[in-house]
Amino acid sequence: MSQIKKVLIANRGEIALRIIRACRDMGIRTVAVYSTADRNAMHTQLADESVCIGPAPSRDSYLNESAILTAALLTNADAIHPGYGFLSENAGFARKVESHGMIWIGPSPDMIVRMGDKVNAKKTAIACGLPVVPGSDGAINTLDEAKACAEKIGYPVMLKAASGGGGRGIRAVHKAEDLAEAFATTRAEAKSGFGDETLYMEKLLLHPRHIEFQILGDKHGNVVVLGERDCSLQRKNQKVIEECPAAILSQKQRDDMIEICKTAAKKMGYFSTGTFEFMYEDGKFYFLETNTRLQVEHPVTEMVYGIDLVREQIRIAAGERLGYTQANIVPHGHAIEFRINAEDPETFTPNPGTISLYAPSGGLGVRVDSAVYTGYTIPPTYDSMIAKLIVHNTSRATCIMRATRALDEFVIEGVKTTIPLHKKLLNNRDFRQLNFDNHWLEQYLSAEPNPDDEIVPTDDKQEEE
Amino acid sequence: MSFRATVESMSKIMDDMGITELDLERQFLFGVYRKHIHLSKGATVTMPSFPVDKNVKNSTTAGNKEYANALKSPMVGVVYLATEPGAKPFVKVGDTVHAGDTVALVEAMKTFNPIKATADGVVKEILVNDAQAVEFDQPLIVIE
Repeated sequence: MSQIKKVLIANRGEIALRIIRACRDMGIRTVAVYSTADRNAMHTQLADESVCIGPAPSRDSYLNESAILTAALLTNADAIHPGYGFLSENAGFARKVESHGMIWIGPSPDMIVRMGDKVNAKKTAIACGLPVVPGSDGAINTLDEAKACAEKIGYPVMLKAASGGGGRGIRAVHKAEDLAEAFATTRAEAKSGFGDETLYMEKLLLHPRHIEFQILGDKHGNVVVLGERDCSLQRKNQKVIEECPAAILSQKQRDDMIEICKTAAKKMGYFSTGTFEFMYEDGKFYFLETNTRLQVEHPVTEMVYGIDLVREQIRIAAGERLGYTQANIVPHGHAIEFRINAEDPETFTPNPGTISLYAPSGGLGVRVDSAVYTGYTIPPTYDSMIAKLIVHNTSRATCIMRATRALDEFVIEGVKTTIPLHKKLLNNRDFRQLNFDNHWLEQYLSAEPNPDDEIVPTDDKQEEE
Repeated sequence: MSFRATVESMSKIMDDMGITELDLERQFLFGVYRKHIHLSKGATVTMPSFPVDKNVKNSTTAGNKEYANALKSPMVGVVYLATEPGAKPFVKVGDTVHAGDTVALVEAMKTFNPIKATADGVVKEILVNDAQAVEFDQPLIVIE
């Protein structure tokens, strides 16, 4: 660790703390940057040094590249860790960090550019052997082409305007009879809406699950894949509960995909942490995107694989070798992460305010990554996620038992949180039986409560002394 | 155009347009860049740094209350009290200043930002040293 002696953390909240902790564990000094709204935040208080970089709005503080670089230079930091969100996937910033003689703790700026653009990312994915959603490789110009393409990839299909976005210029076609009309309408819509009638076609997945693979590579071409996570439980594209491993997969499916992902990451020359996200339906995987950063849900992988991903990122950034191969990677048990947001558990209205009591759960197999404390005031300026509860146990069933216990223990008073939602989900039959896809949670939340869905919690507390 | 005028007009343009950084490609900007290196010879080798002591570190929070009339740094950077080392400082304690007078410069990423008096008054106290690292919102000069 000779190269990195002081790390500036360009982030806030639980992830800033997570990184400070990893640095401390390695004997590396830390610099926190903070906005005026975060003077009393834990990352500001816990780092060896803290620098106020701007006012509350992220644009002027946590996204203020020049302020962060100045703070890094003035504190003589040798590396910058961006965490997730904010500047973590900003290749321009990563380049500036490097051009100022500091180490960027993350994948190379070129990799961020390459995988950041959806079209480019898909091309790279195909070239590196990752399975993608089948579709027309380019524009569909005539109805005959559309028919031929749909026959080839199989109904249902999705017609998309090449210049479209925001859910417009996109139409599902479920059977051959509907194609002609859908083709004409979507084309007209594309023309009037985006001034470009170019359409393309993709296979429509009706019940996809979100399964992602954790990549870890060094700068010497060594890559390992730390299994996968099932993040299908989402609301408005925000993950709510994440699990490792994805219990729906067979060991063969898992092993095959680990091999495919490992080969692809090697081909790309990927280093640091990264995630290959896939949609999974009927036993098949379809590449979605690559996240060139540390993920919010990285702790479930850490618990199961026993590897400190932030430590590995820092070691890799410093040029060290992984020092282990896929054969050394052994998963143990099951882990589930619950994102606890300061939100109304029914309406999801954010609920910033002062936490009058914070008493996190504990005990064997329970980890809480958070940056709040009793008396802390949650500013309205940033994300509403205030804690991540990560529970680990030998199997999914025992993990759910332990999670029920941990959620029961967790006390946060003064603001509303999503803990009650998590408790409800743990008792849900579909959740317990792995009977869900990416749309399940939103459907569940909009449906009338059905008592038949609830599994009556058996009294698993010890009755005896 | 004098160096100071160039710097001031540049930073005004940048402020007006909300620009916080520049790529130094053009000759005249490069001139500014070189001038800066000259101006803070030491700083290019050893950067000024923040006090590491915890109590000092958090002094700005207390400072804000104590120095209600202070001009505060608009950014994290290095404060300069004169155009170059050894030159006459912009202001000294007891000077009378008018609204709009430049009383200091804060440099961040090779761009200079003039700190201007917001009202007429007398310089009561200068809370920072020349070429010292400052945080966003840190009180610099008290004018009453």
